[in-house]
Amino acid sequence: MSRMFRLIKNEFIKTVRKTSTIIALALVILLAIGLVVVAKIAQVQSERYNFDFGTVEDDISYYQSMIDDAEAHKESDPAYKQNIEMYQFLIDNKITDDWEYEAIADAFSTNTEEVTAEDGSVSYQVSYVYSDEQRDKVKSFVVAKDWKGYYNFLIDKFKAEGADPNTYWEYQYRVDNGVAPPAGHDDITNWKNQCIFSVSSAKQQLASLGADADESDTAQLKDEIAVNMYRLNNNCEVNVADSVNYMETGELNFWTVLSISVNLLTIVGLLMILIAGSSISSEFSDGTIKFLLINPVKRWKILMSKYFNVIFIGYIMMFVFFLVVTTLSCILFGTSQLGAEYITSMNGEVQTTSGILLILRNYLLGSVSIVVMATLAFAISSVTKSSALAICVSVFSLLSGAGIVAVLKEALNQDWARFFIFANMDLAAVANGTTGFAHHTIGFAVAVIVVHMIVFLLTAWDGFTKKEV
Amino acid sequence: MSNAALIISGLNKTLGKKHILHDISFEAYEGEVFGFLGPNGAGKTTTIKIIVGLLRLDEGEIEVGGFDIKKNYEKAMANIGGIVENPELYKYMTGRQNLMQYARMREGVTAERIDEVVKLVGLSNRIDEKVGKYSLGMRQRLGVAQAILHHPKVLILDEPTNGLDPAGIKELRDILKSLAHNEGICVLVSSHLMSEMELMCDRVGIIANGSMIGVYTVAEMISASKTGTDEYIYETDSSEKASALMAGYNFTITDETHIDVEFPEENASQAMAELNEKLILAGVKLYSVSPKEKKKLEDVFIELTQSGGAQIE
Ligand SMILES: Nc1ncnc2c1ncn2[C@@H]1O[C@H](COP(=O)(O)OP(=O)(O)OP(=O)(O)O)[C@@H](O)[C@H]1O
Ligand SMILES: [Mg+2]
Repeated sequence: MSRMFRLIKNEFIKTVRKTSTIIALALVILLAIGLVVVAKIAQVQSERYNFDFGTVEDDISYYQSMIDDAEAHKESDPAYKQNIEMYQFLIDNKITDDWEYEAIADAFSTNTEEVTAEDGSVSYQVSYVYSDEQRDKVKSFVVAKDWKGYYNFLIDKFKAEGADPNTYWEYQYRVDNGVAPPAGHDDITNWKNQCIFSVSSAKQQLASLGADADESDTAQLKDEIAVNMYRLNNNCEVNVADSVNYMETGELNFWTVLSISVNLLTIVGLLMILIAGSSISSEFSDGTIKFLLINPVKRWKILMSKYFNVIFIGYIMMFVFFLVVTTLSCILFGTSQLGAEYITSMNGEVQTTSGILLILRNYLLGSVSIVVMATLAFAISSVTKSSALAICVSVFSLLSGAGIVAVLKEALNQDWARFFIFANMDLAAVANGTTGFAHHTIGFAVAVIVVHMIVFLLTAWDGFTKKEV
Repeated sequence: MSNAALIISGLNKTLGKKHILHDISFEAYEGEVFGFLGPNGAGKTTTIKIIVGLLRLDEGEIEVGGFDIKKNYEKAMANIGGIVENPELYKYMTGRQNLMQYARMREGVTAERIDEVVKLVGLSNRIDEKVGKYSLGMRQRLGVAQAILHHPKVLILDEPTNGLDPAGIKELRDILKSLAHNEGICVLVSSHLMSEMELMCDRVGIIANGSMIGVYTVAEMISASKTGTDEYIYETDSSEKASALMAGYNFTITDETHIDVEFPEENASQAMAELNEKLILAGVKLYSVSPKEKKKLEDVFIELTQSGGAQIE
């Protein structure tokens, strides 16, 4: 065992003393630095272009313009009087916040009835939806800025109507937990409000689907509710799961940078393939193979030490990449989000993982395809002694294998493409069921990978141990 | 003789479609320098590559220090040190780092041993420089250092004097002799120069066209170069007249005025004086009598290895 360790140490020293390895490592570090710095610059840029929500004065002048508009269209709008009254109330009380505006809009909402007189002329009868008493109550809540009172009023109203509790969940939640509705525009983007909005909208959709809705339609809504309730109950400001889908949210933060870094692992993989593809062939091209094989060590042991070293160096490079990205992100984006969790839900059951663990897991899953292709490069270079061929084939496979499978599957509808190694290397996609193949299980993918690895390694072994030097 | 450290029997090798080695067998003993001699393309390097495990042993048996290389590869190889063809080591590492690579692959090589070996091959001052900056001779020395690092019982060197200056060749010769004679190592050295072999080897195995011609001690080689007769060149005015008087002698007429005459070694001077007298008395004009040069070891080697023409097969 210690002998094997010494052999690997030899290979490790050989690799790190080569200038090309140092350059590769420098590239990895540069790539990591570049990613984080570019993300930070992009974030600063996007903050500068923050959407301008306008001031109280803007809102007031908007209300005034609505009044002028109503005056101008007296003839065509039978509810113009009520409109003017509402906007005047908004102006008088300088009401701009969401819940207050909505409360007033509801209080002043009207029904318009078409009345046909006996002589056949048509007129319109306008009436408030709310009673005068109700309207006065709402007005007084708004003037007193008493959102609790208003929400209790709403809850009572819904209850009296016998409405589905899902429809007025938000009011109940805010009253029960003392979470004030957004006041001022910044509060809309506040995470708690976002969570409440999500739950509320999901619950309302559930309510509208009804009790006998299809399981598949409701499952996603229920999961969304579960995740957001978990965040509310456990005070989780950040859900790393949102950042993993950074393409959808378009947001840039600590976790999106880490998630992007997982995708850049392929570039680190290319460098690993370079090392794997030249590990054996460089001994031949330098002529040092004779002095290597003259030693009292069986050839398969030398081969294994070379292979382990390649894998080891590859993981070192990936780890360095991860470390630089994480450290620099902590420096540039702050450490406040470091402890955040990855929160998902399956069938309404919430699962949480620490965000860092999740990213590490994704790194590990991402390393699978890199290791497989590095093994391929290793095998080709062992058989042909040509690093160029080994590197070309493996890099091509790493970059376009998934595309080839996609063409076979999507365009030509060839289901046997699932047996290709490329269809199985993205274990995360297999686990999520997004590979496009029906009943594609992790077990199947792992089996395909293992079979390929065994074939590659046996080929390398056969080529190396039988070679006449 | 002492124990055989290297036993080779019935070695056959085919590379591609070419049958290169035919039934090579020989033994080399502890404490001797064994010369492996043959012209270009004879199969020296091929044989050595098979012994050190670079080429597969197709047919035949090799035993190193008592271990069969097929059955006990690692133990057999642990008893071998060697250089094959050019000393190509890791150029991007220093000489010492190179030696440490080999030390890790073998058992029981300490840092002190590395220093000792480096001193022995005369590289102490340059050992911490990158091998890429070494001259051919320096790399050859480093190759030798690598080969003897782990106290092998059998040291195999393929044309080790290649690239060494005359002083270096002499040093190497002394090192190899001392390793063999003082430390009891079996040293096998290949070469195509008989003169080199004569100076350092105890025995010489001769190979030509992939077949073993024979194994001789250097003393045997020297006596083979002696024919038992001394030859003199007679220069006269007429070879015809002179030869008529030479009945009873072994002679060959080379041209009109020159005749080669052989005398038995034991009484060459006496016999020559008698013949001279005879010629002069008969009126033959004797201009000169000069000894013909003796056959050299090199000629013996060429005779032994050139059964056919001089073409490399
Ligand atoms: N890989 C190979 N494939 C086919 N033939 C080979 C191969 N290697 C060597 N040979 C042939 O084997 C024969 C012996 O070659 P070898 O290198 O053993 O000669 P050598 O005695 O070392 O000669 P030299 O003194 O020139 O080094 C030559 O005819 C050579 O052409
Ligand atoms: Mg040779």
